[in-house]
Amino acid sequence: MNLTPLLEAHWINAILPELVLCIGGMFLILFDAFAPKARSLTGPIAVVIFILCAWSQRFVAVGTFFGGTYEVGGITRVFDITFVLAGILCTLLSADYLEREGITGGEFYALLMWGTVGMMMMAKGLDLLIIILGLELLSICIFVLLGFQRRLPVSNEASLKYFLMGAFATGFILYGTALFYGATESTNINVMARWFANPDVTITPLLTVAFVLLMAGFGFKLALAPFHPWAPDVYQGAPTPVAGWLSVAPKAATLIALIRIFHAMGPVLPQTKWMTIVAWLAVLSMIIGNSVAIAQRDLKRMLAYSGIAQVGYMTIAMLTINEDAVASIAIYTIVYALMNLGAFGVISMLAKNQNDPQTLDDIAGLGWRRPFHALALAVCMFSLSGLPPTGGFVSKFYIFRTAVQSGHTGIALIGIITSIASVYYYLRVVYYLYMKESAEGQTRIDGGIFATGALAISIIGIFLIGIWPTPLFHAASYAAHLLLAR
Amino acid sequence: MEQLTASMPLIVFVMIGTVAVASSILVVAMRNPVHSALFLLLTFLCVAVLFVMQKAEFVGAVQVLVYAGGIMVLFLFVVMLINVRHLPDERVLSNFWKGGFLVGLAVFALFVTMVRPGVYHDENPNKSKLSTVRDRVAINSTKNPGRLGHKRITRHNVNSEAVANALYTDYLVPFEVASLFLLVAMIGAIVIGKRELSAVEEETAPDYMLARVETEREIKEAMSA
Repeated sequence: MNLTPLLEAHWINAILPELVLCIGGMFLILFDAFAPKARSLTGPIAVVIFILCAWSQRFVAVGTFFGGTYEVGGITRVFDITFVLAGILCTLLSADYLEREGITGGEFYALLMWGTVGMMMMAKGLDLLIIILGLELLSICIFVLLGFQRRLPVSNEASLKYFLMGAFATGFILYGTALFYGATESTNINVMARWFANPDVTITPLLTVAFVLLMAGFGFKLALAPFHPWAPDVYQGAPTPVAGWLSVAPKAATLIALIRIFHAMGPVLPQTKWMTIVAWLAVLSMIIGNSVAIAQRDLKRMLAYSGIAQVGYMTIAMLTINEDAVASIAIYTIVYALMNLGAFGVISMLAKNQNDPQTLDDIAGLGWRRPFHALALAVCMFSLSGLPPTGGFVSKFYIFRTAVQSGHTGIALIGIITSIASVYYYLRVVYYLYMKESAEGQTRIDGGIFATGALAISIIGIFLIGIWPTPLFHAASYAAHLLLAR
Repeated sequence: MEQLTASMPLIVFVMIGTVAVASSILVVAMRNPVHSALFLLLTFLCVAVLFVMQKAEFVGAVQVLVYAGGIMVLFLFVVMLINVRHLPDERVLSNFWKGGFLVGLAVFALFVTMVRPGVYHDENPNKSKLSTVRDRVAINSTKNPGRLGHKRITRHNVNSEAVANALYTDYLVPFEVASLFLLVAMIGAIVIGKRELSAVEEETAPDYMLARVETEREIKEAMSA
């Protein structure tokens, strides 16, 4: 049989990063099983595998592979770097966290890696089938990672909640995809794009239903406003480094998949109300996320609501897909990964019963007891609220500028107002860090060398992007140009 | 003999169909869940045979592999694990059996009137695509003898081959991701359901966790006592 349409030249280079992570995960599990004495090494080995994966990006072949179902390009490289960065930070934070909580980590890191593979598939898939399978691969890793502390009721609750809600969301996505397949006769995004580009296309109610179903499913995965209620409970119960990873990486993967889908639908979007739906999701997310976060004293819940608002900002840029929009989303996800994982990292070091909430009182007066950790948390909070010398400011600026340039001034204004309101609860954390007296029997901060290293990476990254964003922005813009040039 | 061969499909259909219907009735009539499950398995197998007779080999094979192989084994495992040997002694027929019988009869009448022999799909262009395979085979070239040439052939009614062709060419990546997905699901299940903390791990565990392990142990002892 003729295999040429099946396997293009350099196909192995196209999936090299995924292969590295797949095999790395399997190796870790075997290592954990056959060398139980060296279990403390699994964390460092996982970091090495992630770095190998980042390094293998150098050899990646660019183009379309596997019969037009898999596209590797500049933008997927940018997002791959985000995923790997989130993976490395989470691994570094987990290394100390797992040891403190008495969990052995072989499977933990392996699941983290396979989840990353799922995200890479979502970013590169040109076929809705691949995107959905990648999403499911990711979801199943998340279910297990959330429930990793089997003895904690909150952890089990988080896992079960995400499982049930996630199953629903997947159902919606599959249903939407099936309807799109029925209408466009293909699940391939390029074929769908050609179908949508046909001027005779009429938008039937069926297509609108399909779009709404798709957005409901992806909205769940992004924790956009009407689909957000799972987020606070899940983040609260999850092992803290996992919560940080979950709040960052899957969202980035879902966003790039949505960018591809929206871009394919581009020609018909002006004659539909579809983007109005998305705009409402963004506005609701920003308002609900920011206003509820003000009332939260539990740090993880507060960050969950702040995450809902942050996704709202990113969704603003999705309303009109152009080069600037894609570039600003790419930059936002990188910065968001740095600052949110940094914030969750400091919380993960609070050595208390993980079944109890980690509240603002636990970090009171931390600035005088553990200056470095307090500084890291403060920098992340400044960046999340979008204050100038940090990366958070730059990324938010790009997002709002793109929105205004595309003519979504009103929504951008809502974004700016709500993000000003958000400064209150972000800076309240800084207030507790430095202006509050620490009480007797205060919660210990328990961070080893790995976690401290992760925080250092976050701080350096946040300031580097904040002060000197031009190279990153140029790279992202060029990658976005290549993506949209087709 | 000739006549027998010609009527063979009908004979097989009647036999298999009878077994299928009888065993599906027995599924609900048996008192022992294990027996019910086994009769369900028999029903699935009979339906698979019916699929094959309709030239849907692929669906038949999937029926055997997925339903008979996978789901039924799962059923049996669960039934045996929770150790339900007998249902509580209740009457097989409830008080509402007359109403139920009427509803069943109505549905049966509906199917009999709606489902008639005939062609059940439009003759659309996709139909031929799904059941034919175009292939190139090597033949001895007629023009220059001694060299191999190629000849295009088209084969019909090979639907499993057509499915395989699509699965391993256009949908190769989804297929491979699905296999990774199964591996991850398996390992995830083991992680969620594996043994308790071992003594070695307890040494490094924090105090509040040891306390919780202790409580769990006490609860367990109280339960078993």
